[in-house]
Amino acid sequence: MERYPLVVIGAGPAGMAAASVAAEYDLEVLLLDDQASPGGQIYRNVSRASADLRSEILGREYYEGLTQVDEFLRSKINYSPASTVWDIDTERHVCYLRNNRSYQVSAEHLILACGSQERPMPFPGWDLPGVMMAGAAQILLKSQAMLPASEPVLAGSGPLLLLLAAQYLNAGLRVQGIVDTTPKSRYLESIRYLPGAMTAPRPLFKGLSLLKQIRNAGIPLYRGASNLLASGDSQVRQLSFHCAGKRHRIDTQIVLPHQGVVPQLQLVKLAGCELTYLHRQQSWSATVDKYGEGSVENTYIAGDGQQINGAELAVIAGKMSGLQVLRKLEKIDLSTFERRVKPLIKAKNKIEKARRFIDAIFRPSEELNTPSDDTMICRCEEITAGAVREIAKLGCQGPNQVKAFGRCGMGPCQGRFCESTVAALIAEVQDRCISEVGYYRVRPPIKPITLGQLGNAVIES
Amino acid sequence: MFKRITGTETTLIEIFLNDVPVMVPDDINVGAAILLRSSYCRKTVVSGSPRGPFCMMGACFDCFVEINGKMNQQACLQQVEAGMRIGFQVGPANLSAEETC
Ligand SMILES: Cc1cc2nc3c(=O)[nH]c(=O)nc-3n(C[C@H](O)[C@H](O)[C@H](O)COP(=O)(O)OP(=O)(O)OC[C@H]3O[C@@H](n4cnc5c(N)ncnc54)[C@H](O)[C@@H]3O)c2cc1C
Ligand code: FES
Repeated sequence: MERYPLVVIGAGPAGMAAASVAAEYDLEVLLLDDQASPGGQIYRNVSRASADLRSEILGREYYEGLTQVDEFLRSKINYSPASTVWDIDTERHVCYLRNNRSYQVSAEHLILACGSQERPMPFPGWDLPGVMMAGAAQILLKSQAMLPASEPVLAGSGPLLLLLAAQYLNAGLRVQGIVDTTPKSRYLESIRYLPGAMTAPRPLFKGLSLLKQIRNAGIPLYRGASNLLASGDSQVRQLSFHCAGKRHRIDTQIVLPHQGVVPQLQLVKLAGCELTYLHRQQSWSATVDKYGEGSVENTYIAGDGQQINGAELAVIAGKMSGLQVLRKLEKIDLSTFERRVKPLIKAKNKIEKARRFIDAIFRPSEELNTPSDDTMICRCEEITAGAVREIAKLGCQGPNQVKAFGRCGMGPCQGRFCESTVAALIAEVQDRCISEVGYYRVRPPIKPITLGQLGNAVIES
Repeated sequence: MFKRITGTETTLIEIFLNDVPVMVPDDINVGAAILLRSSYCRKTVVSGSPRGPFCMMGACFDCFVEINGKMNQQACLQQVEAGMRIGFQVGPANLSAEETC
């Protein structure tokens, strides 16, 4: 089996930064990423997108990603695109699929920079064709240059929702409305974090300017909306919701929900690393020390795949983990390490402080966390919230037991789109803290692999 | 459900969607190609209800289709190729003959 001093998984801001810093000191790095080109979620496809799409539609921040991607591509890194990691173990053996073939390598040090996925947003009708996560629609814009064929309705909360509405406006597409599910109480709750937000104010100003652009375009904003319902026969035809004391109905063929993002923790779990529940983000995060090292030695977790802090901090976290690996391997001495790490820690503290405001204001609404009984929460096995509540009443202790009792989370997505809801429902019914309720165990393969591909595996170097 | 941004430079190739020949840009993935024509790509195993691509990043598995005779392929993760045969997947069994786009 081929052995590398450092294997990085993920070519987003965090993974690119980690690999680039290690390559500066001639460390041999293998970087695996499942996309065709580097950039991760924020800069997806940036090196290939047309100039128009890059600068006119997606905005400056996206365009700026090109600098990081170019720098990454210039550095001496063994970069393996279109490589999907489907298993790792506690000894840092990494299995990945590329070109229909499975490979296994061994890593002395491993940096997991797998980023985030959108937080599930279950409401009745979210399974209808025509309803698609807003981030998914943004992926279609970034990497496929595609727009909705008719005016969509955006629903939920979080910065990405505003960003997408603005990007669509730049592309000449109006959205019919933004159904904002941020509970009104969140504004009050977040005020005390406002001074902190001013220490690294870029996201705040960006949010305000997006809001202004949306307002100026005359797009209706339904604030404090609740009780969402998407209806239609074989395709969504209407979104209805409560807002300001009455029921609204918007006829539409496309509904794009979103309520923030959560870390993708499958590989972190397989690596045997501990997780910590982060109440302010209402999600699990990977437990790490100051430099991003997890509870298993020589395994690091950086960027949004550790906890959600955005792209700017992902770069810092990636660099810090990279530097720590270099120090441990004695590629840099302690004084170089300290000189380089000090400004990073300072910047990190500032951004983390500012993040509290975003966390507080965009904390998902209670209703969407623990939806009504008739809402399907497991899309794969088609299990409703009501069914999970019934199982929880029987005394099931956690998501794994609920899965065994009712198949919830047993489908191909392996619980990626129901885990948080199942845990929240158990906590609600049993009046327990969600951090005690726990999470799904994961089992490899975390991505589908055929027996043929496994049979073709390359294990010897 | 979706369309290409007007003016995007592309070369078109022919693929087969439920045995019907269609022309699509050569630089998109199968999920995107389906969304140019349809909002759904399969009917679920449990209740037979229609579903379409939902996350476009390989996480939800709602985009399962048959590609060149192989079932359960994630449409959002594979690029289209000339002559590719894509079939909507109905329930757990094979593609039913009456299914058209
Ligand atoms: C759909 C979506 C859209 C977003 N859009 C924006 C945006 O426009 N602006 C913004 O500021 N923030 C956006 N974000 C937030 C985003 O998470 C961060 O801002 C930033 O991209 C985080 O960087 P990262 O390096 O931690 O992770 P990412 O950028 O997510 O990079 C992780 C990389 O790892 C790869 N990967 C994951 N699992 C595996 C595996 N098993 N095998 C191989 N490769 C793997 C992923 O494909 C990805 O390329 C978005 C998030 C999502 C989910
Ligand atoms: S659309 Fe979610 S896996 Fe393809």
